[in-house]
Amino acid sequence: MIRPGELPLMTWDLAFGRREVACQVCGQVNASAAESCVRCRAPVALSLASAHQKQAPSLIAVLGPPESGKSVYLGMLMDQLARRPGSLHLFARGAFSVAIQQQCLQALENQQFPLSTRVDPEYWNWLHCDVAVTDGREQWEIILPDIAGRAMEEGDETNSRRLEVVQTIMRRCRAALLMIDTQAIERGDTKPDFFSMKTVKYLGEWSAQKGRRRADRPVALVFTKSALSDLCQADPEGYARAYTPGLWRQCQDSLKQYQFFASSVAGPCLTIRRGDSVRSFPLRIEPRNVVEPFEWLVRTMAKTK
Amino acid sequence: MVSQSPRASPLTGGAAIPQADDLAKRLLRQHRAALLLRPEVAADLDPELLDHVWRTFREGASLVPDGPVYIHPWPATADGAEMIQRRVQVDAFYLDRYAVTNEQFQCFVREGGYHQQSLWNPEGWRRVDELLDVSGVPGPRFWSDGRFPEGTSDHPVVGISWYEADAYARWAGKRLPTDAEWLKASCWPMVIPGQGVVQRKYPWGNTMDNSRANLWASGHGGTVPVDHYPRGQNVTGVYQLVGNVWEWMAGELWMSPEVLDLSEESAGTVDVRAGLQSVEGLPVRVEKHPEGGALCLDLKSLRGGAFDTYFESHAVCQAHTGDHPFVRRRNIGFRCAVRACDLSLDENVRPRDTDPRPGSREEGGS
Repeated sequence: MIRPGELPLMTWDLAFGRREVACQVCGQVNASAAESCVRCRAPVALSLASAHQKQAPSLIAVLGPPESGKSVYLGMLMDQLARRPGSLHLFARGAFSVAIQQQCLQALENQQFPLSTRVDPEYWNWLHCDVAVTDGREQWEIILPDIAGRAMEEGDETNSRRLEVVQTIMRRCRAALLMIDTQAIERGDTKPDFFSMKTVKYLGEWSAQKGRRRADRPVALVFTKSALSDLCQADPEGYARAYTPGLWRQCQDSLKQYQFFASSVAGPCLTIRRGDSVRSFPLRIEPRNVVEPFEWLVRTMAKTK
Repeated sequence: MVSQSPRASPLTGGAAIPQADDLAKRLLRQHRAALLLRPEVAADLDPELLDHVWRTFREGASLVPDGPVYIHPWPATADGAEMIQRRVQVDAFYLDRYAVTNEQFQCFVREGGYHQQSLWNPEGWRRVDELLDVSGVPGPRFWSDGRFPEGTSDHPVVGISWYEADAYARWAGKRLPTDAEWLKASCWPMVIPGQGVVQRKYPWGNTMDNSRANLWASGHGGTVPVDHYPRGQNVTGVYQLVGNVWEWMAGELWMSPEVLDLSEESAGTVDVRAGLQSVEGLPVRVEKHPEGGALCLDLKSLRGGAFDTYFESHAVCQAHTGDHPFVRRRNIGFRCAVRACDLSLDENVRPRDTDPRPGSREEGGS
């Protein structure tokens, strides 16, 4: 009997909580009762969900500088595959995966963009799902971390833990979605080009450590926010050659399997500037080519098992 | 059929009409029956021909009777706060049953519509040389050599700016509908004793049904012919008021200040631009709406949703968005309207529907 003011001794829970589970993202062993991995801060729930499986889930890194559209892309991708499936169907594993979709879609429906992903890994969104071919038997379990752009941008400087997490994900991922902000390119900003070149180089370097000249992990290079660029929509590879030549050459040199895509979620926007603060509001939500890059990645991964 | 004695007519700018019958036929072929129904022109037509013109006109346009309509600011505020809505009294008018098609617009192009200054708004005329197709000749943005893409003759014309839509409407003897008119036709307000005015959410009723409109969920991924989705028509047989293409309205966009995170007082003091998300877009003038409770943006209003509109909630009749009048997008088209009182008397219409009163009148917020 428990008296008022006493805490119950939940022996079963304590014993269960002592069970060890390896993090599916970084391999660190954690107590199953922990909220997140002590090393990479990925939710332990991700690992618990697949703890008894023979095959580990595939990690697909979603990379890109801040404000390049990673969260919006992921939210819309999930919504399209889960609620309105075409050739692929997505089943979320765990409520936290559905939360990404919900936050993003609710914001877009209210003609707002979702808030930027916070920089520390414990606040990142982690999408854990099963993806199946609608008219076939193939099925893949996939984890997509929505890495905060600022965590990648700070790169070699500042916070070593964040950097370690980013590097771990990039090292262990089976494929990557690299987001490139088309509008930043169109206004002459070289940051997306440099960022992407650096990322492709990293992905290549880790393969080189295994003795390969070029990385064989498939990489989908996605020009986001490309709705208003006809050239980009019509020929993403040609656009890359013309507008991000450094990245284009880097891909040829470092990657074995890559493809450029043009994608967009919002149409034209209103931008309101007050002093230093700038806010954008989408006037219309008109997604284009959201599923294609992901589908190419998944099918390429399946071929190169 | 037509009086053969050459007489001065406003149709030809005061010149005589030696071949009025041929001219009438030509105008009918070009879907410009509204010009023939202007009282000053109709007076010259033989009654039999006039009757034929009326029948042709009514095949392409539907009468919307006069009456009130409520317009809400859009989007609705997230917290569900009570919105200020405007009650607008709309005169009886005819609205095109279908969006203007590529084939119809080609008549305008072939007739030299891009070269007739009298058809154009001065601002549009100043930049008419920029309104070219992919081959560099005047025409909608996605055409080539003055021709629309093969197999799309009955699709809505897209890739046209607000100015091109406005010029076409004038050429056809009509104009672009106002927001209130468009809403009147789509919401079909009914005055119910004891309940006030009841408006529909969609032209066909209050429940979304993907088989009634070409939106993102329909999966076409592009425009369809203007007479598709017959189950989506409104009460009087106007097609595709929701779906297929956004439609240019005559007026400006107005939005709730809360949605833009602005106060009404901040209108005119902030830098607002429209265009790409992170690129400096074109400046947008923002003013307080004269009725209060909303901000007027210097963008042209668009209504109806298009084939790529993702959220069904963005395709309800009350939803609207806007864009710069010079943009030419693949999902924006238009249809035309004309006030009933601007045409000769249609004997099939009750007199109260054609009560000649000036314009739509706002009757204050509620």
